[in-house]
Amino acid sequence: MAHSIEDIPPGLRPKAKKSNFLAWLSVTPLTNSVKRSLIAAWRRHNNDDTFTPDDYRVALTDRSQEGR
Amino acid sequence: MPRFPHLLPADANLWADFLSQTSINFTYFEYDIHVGQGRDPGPAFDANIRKMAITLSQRRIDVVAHTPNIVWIIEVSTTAGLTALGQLLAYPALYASMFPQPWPVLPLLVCRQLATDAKIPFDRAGIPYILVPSTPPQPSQGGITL
Repeated sequence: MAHSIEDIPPGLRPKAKKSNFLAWLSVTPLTNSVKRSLIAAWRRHNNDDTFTPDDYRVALTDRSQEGR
Repeated sequence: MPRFPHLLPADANLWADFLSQTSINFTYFEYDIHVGQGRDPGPAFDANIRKMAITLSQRRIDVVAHTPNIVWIIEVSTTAGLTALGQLLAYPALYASMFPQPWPVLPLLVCRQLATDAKIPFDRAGIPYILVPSTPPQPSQGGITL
């Protein structure tokens, strides 16, 4: 099954928190398939059509190891 | 709040239709059941981050439906294809390994329709499916009676 909005931290669920949601995805150690599923859940929840290829690039870039 | 918030909207409607039409004697349901080990990103991450990553990467069973003598592992999918087939081949074993049962743990697909090329593999694998119309139900060939 897909992920649901309940899988995303509450503070990142509002549409206005899109940039924070993207930043969270970029530093969280998840596979891209999981990230894509979370993005789909966030977009469904917000009825969002603003995601761009650049947004996906940011979200799917693994920066989780930076600074370690 | 949707009735089944863990399901996609179309799948939630499908599941509601199924529940309104089925005559199977279910005793209770569990939703969004996580199975499998998930993916541990390793000890370089804080414990809370590791726990979150593992939880989010576990497999998720749409519905576990209990009857008096069978546990059904149910995948709900509007148009079911080979992804659903793979899930239904794997999830009963993962569920039974995590939650040992005295009863058989069996797969069941609930869908509106099968995707192209899905019927033959489902039939060959012996995985039952129920085609749920939006209108009053009709038993499907190869499926089980609602």
